[in-house]
Amino acid sequence: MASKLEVLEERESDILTLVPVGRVDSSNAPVFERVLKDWIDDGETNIIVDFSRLSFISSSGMRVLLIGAKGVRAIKGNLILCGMRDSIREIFSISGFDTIIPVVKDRIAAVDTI
Amino acid sequence: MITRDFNVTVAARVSELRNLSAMVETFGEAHDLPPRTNFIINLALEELVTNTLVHGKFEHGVDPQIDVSLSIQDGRVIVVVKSNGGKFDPTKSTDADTTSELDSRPIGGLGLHLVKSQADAYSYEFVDGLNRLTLEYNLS
Repeated sequence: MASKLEVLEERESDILTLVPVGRVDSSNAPVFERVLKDWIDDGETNIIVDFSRLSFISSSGMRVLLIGAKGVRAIKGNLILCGMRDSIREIFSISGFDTIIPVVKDRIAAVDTI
Repeated sequence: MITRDFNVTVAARVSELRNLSAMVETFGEAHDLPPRTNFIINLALEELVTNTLVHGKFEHGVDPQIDVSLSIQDGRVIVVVKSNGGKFDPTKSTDADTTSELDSRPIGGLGLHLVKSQADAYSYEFVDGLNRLTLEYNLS
C-alpha cells in the first residue's frame, strides 16, 4: 500500500501549480503519479511542479515526472519544474532530464516560460 | 583506522525507507556531513532497496532483507549494502539513456545509474550467498 503524499494544488488563471511536500520515493510515487495523471487526463495543459517544499525525490518520483511530461506533450501543453534544491537539481542534470523537461529557478520564471 | 558507526539490517520493504532515511540523517548529524552527502546516501539506499525488490529472486519463506553499514574512513563515507535474493551485480547494469528526446526517452532504468554516477568509487562482491555493494563518497 502506498504511503501518503501531500500535494498542494494552486490555480492562477489557466496555470495549475502542484507542490509536493516532503519526499517522493517508491513508497508514495504512485500517489504522485495519480495526482498528475488525473490533471492531465482532465486536459490541464499548463502545469508547474514547484519543488520548493520537497526535500527528497528518487528515481521513482522522477519517473512520474517523465510520464507527466510525455502526457502533457501529447496534448500540446507545458510541464515546467521549479524551486529545486541543489541536490535534486543535480540528479535531474545527471539523468539528462533537464534537457527534456524545462527546469527553472522559481515560480515567476516558470510562469514566464509558459 | 576504521570506525564502524552504524549497522542495521532491515526488511527490504518500501515502508522501511523512512526509517533508513532517519538513520542516515542521524549519522550525518553525528559527523557533520554536508546535506549533499546525506542526500546521495539516502538516494542510494532507496534505489538499492527498490532494486532488491524488483530483481531479487526469493524462495518461499525467505523475506527480502538489506543490511546497511555506514562508516567514516580516511575522509570518505563508506556505505556497505548487503542484500539477499540471489546474485545481482548492480555495477554491471546498463547505463541509462540520458540523451534521447522526450518522446523516445525510456521510462525507468535510472536508479542504479544515479547510484553509480554519484559514488566516487564502488565495488561489488557476492559473498556467502549475499550481494555486497560498497559505495565510497569523498568528504573533501
